[in-house]
Amino acid sequence: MQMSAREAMHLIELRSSPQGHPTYRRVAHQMHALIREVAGHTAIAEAMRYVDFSDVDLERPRGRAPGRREAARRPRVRVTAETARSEPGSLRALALLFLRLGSTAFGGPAAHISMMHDEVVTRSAGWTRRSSST
Amino acid sequence: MDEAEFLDLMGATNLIPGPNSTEMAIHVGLSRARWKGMLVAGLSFILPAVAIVLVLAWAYVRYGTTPPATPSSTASRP
Repeated sequence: MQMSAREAMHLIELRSSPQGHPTYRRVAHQMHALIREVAGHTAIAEAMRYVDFSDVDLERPRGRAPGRREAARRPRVRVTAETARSEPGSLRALALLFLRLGSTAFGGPAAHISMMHDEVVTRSAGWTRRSSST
Repeated sequence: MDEAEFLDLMGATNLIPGPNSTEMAIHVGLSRARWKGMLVAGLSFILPAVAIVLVLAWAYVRYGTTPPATPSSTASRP
């Protein structure tokens, strides 16, 4: 098997990340060690700054932590969605929605309309379905 | 708002001249809170962009001819 330094860099940095499966994280770590020690390319090994050397077996739960943090943040969004739904005709909800879209929507009319669709059709429908099932 | 209503509004924005997304915002405002909603939605959608463009325009006038800033102004020429 043959690969360029750039390919090795990409593969090892990507596959050593804490979210990865232990089996290929170990392979990525071994590849990095081989490049540095056996092949002697210390400069190339040093250049791979994003290789994650944390312990393979313990990392998996911690790697999932961002997902959990995201879940903890979700209620805030849910509250605004709920208030917007409970009074979709309120001018305040309307102004908040479009101020948010107006300042975050980039990419031209097609992108704007797709984001609006997410907000006024998809999201409100998903919310109704979820709230009616509970 | 359901899918069909949204598509109707999309058809309407394509029929009339002007920027589709802004018209869509105004339509959504109209369907949610009549003419007041129309005004609020339209203004809310446009104002952030107006503010951003004002800041950029001010920066262009102020720093457009400063040597370190010229690359950024040539990169974003209309």
